Order: sequence, then C-alpha cells, then structure tokens
Amino acid sequence: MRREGPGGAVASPPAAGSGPGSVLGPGFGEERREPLRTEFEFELPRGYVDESGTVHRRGAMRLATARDELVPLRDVRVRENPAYLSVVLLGRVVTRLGTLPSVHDGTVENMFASDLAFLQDFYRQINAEGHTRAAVACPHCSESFEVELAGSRLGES
Amino acid sequence: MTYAADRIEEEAAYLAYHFHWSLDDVLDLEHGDRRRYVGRAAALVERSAQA
Repeated sequence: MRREGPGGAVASPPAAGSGPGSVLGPGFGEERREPLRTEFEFELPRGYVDESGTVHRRGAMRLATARDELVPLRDVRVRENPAYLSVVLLGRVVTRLGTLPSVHDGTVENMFASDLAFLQDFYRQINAEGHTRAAVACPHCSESFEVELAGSRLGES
Repeated sequence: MTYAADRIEEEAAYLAYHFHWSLDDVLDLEHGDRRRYVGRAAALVERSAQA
C-alpha cells in the first residue's frame, strides 16, 4: 500500500504530463494541492494482453472517491447498459498495469472475464475493508484464517 | 459497486453543511476519509447539543 501526502507511507511518482511540474497541467503558476491517495498493488490471475501480445499482470488500484462512483452514472454507455458501470469505474481507479502507458475503460473492457471479476472483488475489498486480506474458513476442518487477495508473490502460488 | 449514489449525496451534503467544504473537495475524499469526517461532524454536533 502506498499513500501520497501526509499520513501515509510512500509517495508515488507523479504521472508523466500531469500534476505539479507539468507546464501544461492545471494549476500552472499557482500552488496546487496534492490529493491524498492510497494505492494497493495487485496481480491479475490471467493478465491483460495488449495488441502486441505482451501480457500485463502487475498493477495498482487507488481507493475510490465519491466522484469515482458518481461519474459513471452519467456515462451514456452505463445508462444504456448498467453492467458497464464497473468497467468505467475500474478504468478510473486502476492507476497502472504492467508497462502500459495508461489504463482506461477501453483497457478494462478488453480484459478476461476472470481478471475483471478479480478486480471487482479487489475493489470491494479495499474500499470496504481498507486492506487486501480476507477472512476465510477451511471447508474441511473449519479453521479460520486470512488470505491475501492481492495476488501471488514470487515463491508462492 | 460499494456505495449508493443517494448515500454519497447525503454524506456530501452533511459535510458541506457542517464544515462548509466545497462539493469538489468532498467528492474527491476517499470513501474511508469521507466516512471518518462524517463521524467527526456528527460528534461535534452532538457535543454542541449537549453544551
């Protein structure tokens, strides 16, 4: 998890061409406030395949705001098909994926269904619980334990 | 996926009413932060009601 600004841990590098330091960015010539942003890293179960065939699996999602939930409701595609809401929403909060220069709703639209389902669960988990651990119980012995939802790490599977 | 629009509007209106924050500022708070500030405002309202 990383968070920009006070109260958090690690500051994310600003995206190229936006934010403070960008000559053409908003707020040029005046002090611009940095919003507090918390990000969680994830690893897609299958991975997004771009036009060149490169697979992108590791990415990051920031916590959602009220604006993130309200903007898709005004999107004409969502009005015509409410199922599209999660595509627009995830396109806003997924901040990076692999080596893609940017992530948007068109990226999310072309993901495998299993990756989309993973991101929807991940979104609910971080926004409702504030972390990526989920409490589960063993179906055989009923013992409770926690699992990490963010995806596998090296040496684990 | 996690918040109903009318609930968000209710919380935004509550914060704007008590703290006089702009709508833009309130809409850009993460869900957890917005809920925490709603709780803070409610505590202040309750304290002033008891005073």
